[in-house]
Amino acid sequence: MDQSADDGAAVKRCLNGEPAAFEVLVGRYQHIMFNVALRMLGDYEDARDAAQNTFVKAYEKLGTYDAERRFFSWIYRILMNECLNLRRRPATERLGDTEDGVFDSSDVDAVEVAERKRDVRQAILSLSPAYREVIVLRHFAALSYEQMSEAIGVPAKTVKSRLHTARQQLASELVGWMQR
Amino acid sequence: MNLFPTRNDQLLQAALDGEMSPEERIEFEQWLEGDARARERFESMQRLTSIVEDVGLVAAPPDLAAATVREISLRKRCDVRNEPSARGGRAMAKKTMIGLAAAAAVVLVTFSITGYPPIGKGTEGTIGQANRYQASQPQLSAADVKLGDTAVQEFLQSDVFDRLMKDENAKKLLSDASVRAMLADGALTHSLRDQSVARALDDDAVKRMVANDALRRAIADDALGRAFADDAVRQALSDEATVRLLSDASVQRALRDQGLARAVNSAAKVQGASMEAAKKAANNDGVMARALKEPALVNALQNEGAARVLAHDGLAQRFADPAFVNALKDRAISSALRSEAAARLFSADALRKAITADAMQQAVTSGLLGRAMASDAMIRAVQSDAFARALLTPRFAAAVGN
Repeated sequence: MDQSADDGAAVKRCLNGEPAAFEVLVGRYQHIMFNVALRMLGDYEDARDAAQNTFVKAYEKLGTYDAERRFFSWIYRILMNECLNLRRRPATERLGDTEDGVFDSSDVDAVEVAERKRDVRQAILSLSPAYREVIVLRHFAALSYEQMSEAIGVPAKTVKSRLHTARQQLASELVGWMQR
Repeated sequence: MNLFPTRNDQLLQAALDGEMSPEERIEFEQWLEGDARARERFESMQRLTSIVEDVGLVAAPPDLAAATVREISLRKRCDVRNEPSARGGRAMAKKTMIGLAAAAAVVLVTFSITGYPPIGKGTEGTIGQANRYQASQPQLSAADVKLGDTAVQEFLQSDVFDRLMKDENAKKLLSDASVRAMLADGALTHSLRDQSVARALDDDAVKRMVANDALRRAIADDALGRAFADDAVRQALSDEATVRLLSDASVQRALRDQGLARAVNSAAKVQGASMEAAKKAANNDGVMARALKEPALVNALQNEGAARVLAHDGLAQRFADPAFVNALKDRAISSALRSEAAARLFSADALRKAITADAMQQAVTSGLLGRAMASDAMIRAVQSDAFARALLTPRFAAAVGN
C-alpha cells in the first residue's frame, strides 16, 4: 500500500491532461476495492457496481484529491459512500456457492470448508458497518492501524477498540468453527 | 483512556496484528509464559483470524477495469464538465477556443513588439523569441494588452508557439482584428495555463482549419467561434467531409441560429451530435444542413438532457436519416423532450446507453416513443422513484443494450 508517490504522480498526470494515467490507478486498486466492497455488501454484482461507480466518481472529483493523503484512503471514502447507497437493506450473504466454486459434494472436507467459509462471510455481514469495515480492512486489505485510521477517519485507538469488539462478536458467532 | 477491558486484551490484539513494540512483546511473552489460559485464549484468537482470512480474496470481475474506463469515456463524451481538473473537479469551461487560443499566440507577439510584457529580469528570452517574428506582424496598440504573467512568457518560449509562428495560415488568422477582439475575454489567461490549449495549437486538424479561408472567416464570427471552441468540434475538423460542410454558407447560417448556438455552448453541447451529423450530412445531400434549420431540432437541443441523448455517437448518426429528423419534429416527441420528466429521464447514463440499441432507435423513428411519452401513464412511470432507480443501475443498461 506504500505507493503514495506513484499514485500522486498518476493523479498529477491525469490532471495535466493525460486521462490514460487514471487507468493505472484503476488497474492498481480494482482488486482491493472490489474485495472490500464484496465483503461489505456480500453481493458480487453490487460489489462490481460499487467499485465501478467509485472509480468513475473518483475520476470526476480528481481535482479535489489532496496529495498529502494516501490515494487509497481518499478513494476508500468514496467506496464506502457507494456501499452505503447500495446497502439500504440488511446485509445478507448472496454470493453463495458462486464464490466457493465447484467442488465434489462427496468430498466431506471440501463441503466442510465451503460451509465454514459461508458461515464466516455471513458472520462478517452480520456485524454493524463500523465493525465490519475494520475487519475487512485488516483481514482483506491488510491495512495497518495507522492506515485504517486515515482511511476511516477516526483515531487509531478507536480503530483498535472497534477491532477488538468486532472480533469478540465474530468469535461468539463462529465459536463452533474455532473449536474444530 | 484505555478502550480495552484489560491491558492483556490490548497486548493480545497487538500480537495478533503484529503491531507490538519490543517492550510490549517482552511483556506479552511473559504473560503467556506464566498463564496457560492466556495461551489458550491467544491460540483461539489466532484460529479466528485464520478462518476469517481463509475466506480469501476474490478475483475482480475481468471486465471491471475496461468497463470503468468505458464509462468514464462515455461520460466525458456526454458531458465535458466531467473531465478532471487541477482547478477543482471540473474542467475549465471550454473557452479554450481554438481560434481564441491560437489568436493568443500572435497577439502575444505583437504585445511584445509594442513593449509588452515589460522587460525585466527573466523576460529577455521571451522578448527575443517574440522579436524573431516582428517583421511579419501587424502592430497593435499597447491598449490591447491585458495579459501578463509567467504563463504568457512560458507560452512564448514553447515549441508549440515556435511552430505556430512558422505557419503562414495561422498568422493570417491571428492577425484578424475580430479574432484579436476575442482576446478581451478574461478566459484567455486561464487558457494559456491549460495544457489542452497547447495541444490544440499543435493539432494537425487546427492547422487544416486555419488553412481554409471560409473557416477562418467563420472563426472570426463570434457565435461560430464559440462553437469551434469544443474539443469534439476540433476532432471533427480532422474529417475532410466536416470541413467541407462547415465551409458551406447555409450551414454557417444555421449555426448562427441563436437557439442552436446556445445549445452548442451548453454543457452537453452538440458535441458529437452536430458534428457527427454534419459529417454524415456532408455525404448525404445536405440533410443535416436542412435539419440544423429545423426549429424542432433546435428546441430539442436546448434541453440539456435531450442534448446529451442526441449527442450520443450512436444516435447522432441517425441525424442523417430523414425519418429520424421527421420523428424529432413529431409534436409529442418534441414536447416530451422539453418536459421535466424527460430531462430527468435523459440525464440517466443508463438511458443514454440504452438508447443506442437498435430497438430503441426504431421506436424513436417510428413514432412509437413519441406516442408512449405523450401518455400520462408513461410520464407517471418516468417520474417514479422506482423507475429512476432502475435506470441508474448499470445492469439495466446492460439488459437493454443486450
